[in-house]
Order: sequence, then C-alpha cells, then structure tokens
Amino acid sequence: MMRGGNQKAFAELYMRYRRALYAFALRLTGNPPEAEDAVHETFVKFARASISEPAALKSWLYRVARNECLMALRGRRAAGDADGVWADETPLSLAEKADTRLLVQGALERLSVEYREVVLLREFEGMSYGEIVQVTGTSPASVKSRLFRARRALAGLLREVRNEERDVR
Amino acid sequence: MTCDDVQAAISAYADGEIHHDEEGAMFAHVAGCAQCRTFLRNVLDMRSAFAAAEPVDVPATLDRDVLAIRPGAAPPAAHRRRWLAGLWERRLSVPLPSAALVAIALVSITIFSLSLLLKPSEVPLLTLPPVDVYAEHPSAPAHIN
Repeated sequence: MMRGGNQKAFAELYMRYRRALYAFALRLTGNPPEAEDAVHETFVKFARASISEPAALKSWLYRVARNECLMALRGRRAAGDADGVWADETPLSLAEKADTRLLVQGALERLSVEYREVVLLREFEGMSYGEIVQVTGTSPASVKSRLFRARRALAGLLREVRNEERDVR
Repeated sequence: MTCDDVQAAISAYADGEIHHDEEGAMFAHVAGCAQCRTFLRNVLDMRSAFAAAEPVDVPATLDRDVLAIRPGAAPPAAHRRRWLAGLWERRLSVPLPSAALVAIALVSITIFSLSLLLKPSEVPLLTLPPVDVYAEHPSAPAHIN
C-alpha cells in the first residue's frame, strides 16, 4: 500500500494511530523509550510493507507493535511467568491504593504480559475477540480464557481490598 | 453451571461476546449467588476504571522520527543506527565466554598464519660486508687497522 512513496498518506495514517499505538506499547512494556522504539519500528516496517487490504491495517499495526514490545520485554527478561496471571508476586502493595481506578490500573501493570496484552486490546482499544486473535495469533478460546483469568485475578484483588476496608471500619 | 462457568460467561458478557443461550442461565445463577454478583460488579467497576485512565501523551521525538520516514525508501541514518543498536542488543548478543573463545580463536589463527607466511629460512638475513671494508673507511676506529 505504501510502496510508491505516498508521504501524505503515510503521515495521515501515523497521525490517526500514533496515540493509541504508543499508549498500547507504553502500557504493555511499562517503559517509555521501549514504547517509542516499538512504535517507531512499526512505522519503519509499515513504510516498507505492502498491505493489500486496508481493513487489515489496524490489526497489522498492532501486531507489529506488539511483537516489538515482546522483543523488548524478552530483551530485559521481564516477560514474566507464562503460567501465572501475575508477572511476579500478587500485588498486595497496591492494596493501599484506595482509589479503584489507580488500584486496577496499577494491578494491570503487574499482570503477566500474555494477560496484560489481551486486557489492553479489549479494554483500551475496544477490540473484538476476532481482532485480538488477529493481533496476538492465538485462538478465540485462548483470548476468552485469558480475559477471564485476568479479570478474576483483578477482581480477587478488588475483593481483598474491599474486605480489608470493611474490616477496618 | 458452576460459579467458574458463570464467571467466564460474565467476562464474555462484559465483552459483548456471550452466546444468547448462555446469557439466560448466567443471569439466573447470578440472581441467587452472592459470589458471582460480586464478580459481575467488580468486572463492571474495572471497566469504569479502565475507561477513566489518563490519556497518554506521544513524545515529540517519536513524531519527528516517524514523520521523517520516507515510504519505500531506506530508513534515514538516525534510524539505521537505532536499528543496528537494537539488532546488537536483541539478536546478536552472545554469552561472554563464547565471545571470548571466538576472539581467542581468531587471534590464534592470525598468529599461526603469519608464522607460516614468514618462515625463518625465507626471512632475508642482513649480510655484513667484510671487515676490511670498514677498516678502509675514514671514520673507522684505529684498532680495526
């Protein structure tokens, strides 16, 4: 699509997706330079790519950005335990955040990357299961299961905090 | 349906991806199960929390670098450097002992090759003229004569 050098179309596409892609990369990596690098590399690849179906463009961009983020995460060995929902220990330290918004967003950062990415694509990008499958290359059943497990872990955290608050009162 | 099944259905319901035949059974269970009602409430609270997330600002350096890309052309020099740096860090990194072994092997091969090229018999020897040549020279010390 971009072959032939349509600079104006390229700039317009970048302006359309830049904020969402950067936010996705930032929330996935938790690291601004890595997020910036991931989005930059995505558009370097896009400038040299030949995408025949405009409908597939969004999934393509997110897929490439996601792969760049995963490479960065693997590079610093922070991808987390593939079998667990939390990247490290259960984020009990977040319990002190009384604000549900901060608590949930803080807990999201602590999810293992395979759970975090589906939550980000669903909750922040508003993607359907079919679109998430296009981006992550997993099955619809896996997307559904990961979203459920991630929500159960986050809901468990909310429940614990609310119980603690009730006990304190 | 077990509570696990119902909570999986609640998750799919929140995404608008539930089957119609599941939906009725899910709500029937939720009506009589406090645990699943709490789960439903928490899922909806999480959705509100995500929706209230602060917007993210895009760095100006990213805009500048991406808008400098020329579609179909090779990336500009600055990007090439970053690309190479990334390649080195991410794909060509090897364990230090392996890298040291390769370096030692290369140096050894070089030294061995040079020693073969410059065999002692082939090295031109410095041949001195007979002593009387020196003796006849005006600056020669007296004891030679």
